[in-house]
Amino acid sequence: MTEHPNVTIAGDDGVVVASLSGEIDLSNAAEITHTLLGGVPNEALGLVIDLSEVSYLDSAGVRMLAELDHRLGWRAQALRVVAPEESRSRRVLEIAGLERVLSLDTSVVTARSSIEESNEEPELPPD
Amino acid sequence: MAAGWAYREVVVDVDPAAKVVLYTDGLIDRRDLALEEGLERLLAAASSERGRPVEPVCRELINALVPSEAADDIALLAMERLRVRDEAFRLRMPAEPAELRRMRRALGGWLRGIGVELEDTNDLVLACAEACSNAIRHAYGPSAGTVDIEARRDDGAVEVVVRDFGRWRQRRGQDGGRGLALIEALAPSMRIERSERGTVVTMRRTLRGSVSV
Repeated sequence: MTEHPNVTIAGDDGVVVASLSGEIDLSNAAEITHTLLGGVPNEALGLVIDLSEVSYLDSAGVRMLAELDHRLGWRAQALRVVAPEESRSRRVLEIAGLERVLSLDTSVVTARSSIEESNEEPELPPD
Repeated sequence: MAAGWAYREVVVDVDPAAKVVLYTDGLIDRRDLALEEGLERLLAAASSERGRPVEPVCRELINALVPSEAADDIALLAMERLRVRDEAFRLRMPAEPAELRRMRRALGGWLRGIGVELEDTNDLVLACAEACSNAIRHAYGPSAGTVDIEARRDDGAVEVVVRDFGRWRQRRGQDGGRGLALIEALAPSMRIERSERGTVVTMRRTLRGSVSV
């Protein structure tokens, strides 16, 4: 797995949580994309990207998230993005219209449980 | 000054462009000159100096009104409201992605320094970074050129101009327009002028928090 100073990856229960930090722009978005894709094993249910500690995000970050969504979609893996209300990242994603495309959450806990719940097999009615 | 004198407080409206001259009576009250005539001379001398810095005005008023052997001590205070003009922000950056961070720091620091509020600052820095990123992505070949950034405050707005000296290629991929869409949302009066000599992106944003000068 490649490492990147702006990325911390933790995984459990099949959901990978990647916490990003610092500034994401044209200088590092491609490397971060690469690191994130390398951090999601084939058996993972999905990826949560936590932008809570990101201090700067622009269209390079927006492109990055759109590409990740696209690539994970091929493999039927879910992507959820955590961007707290009132945060700078949230504002940028909203201006860019990405809140209509991506699934945004305000905490890692809700993002993770959304992925887990959507994966639960529907219970068969008792005979 | 006799004890028991009462001083009145008065409020006088002063035209913002006016010069205010305060003086002690030694300036015009002279044995060889009627008070009215002294006042007239002072007004004439002060009016003739309109639009000049106040320091030489003080010297010239004293030269014009006071004979070399002054009988009384004289104090003179001249005030003028200066129109504060911000120095414009200018930065030339190499057209390299790794330079964007430094540009954001510099522009953000300048905007905060002239009193622009945080959200306006963040949005203007973002809009500028998008224009610079576009120039980096589209204007030059792999042997990169430079991008010039200029910003100035203009009443309640800030104008940021990003200039490159290359020729934008046809955009490749479907994501090329994301940056421009962001700029348009942040600075709705964006204009792009393309010419043989390069591309100029002009962004103007009316400040949310109006800043008093």
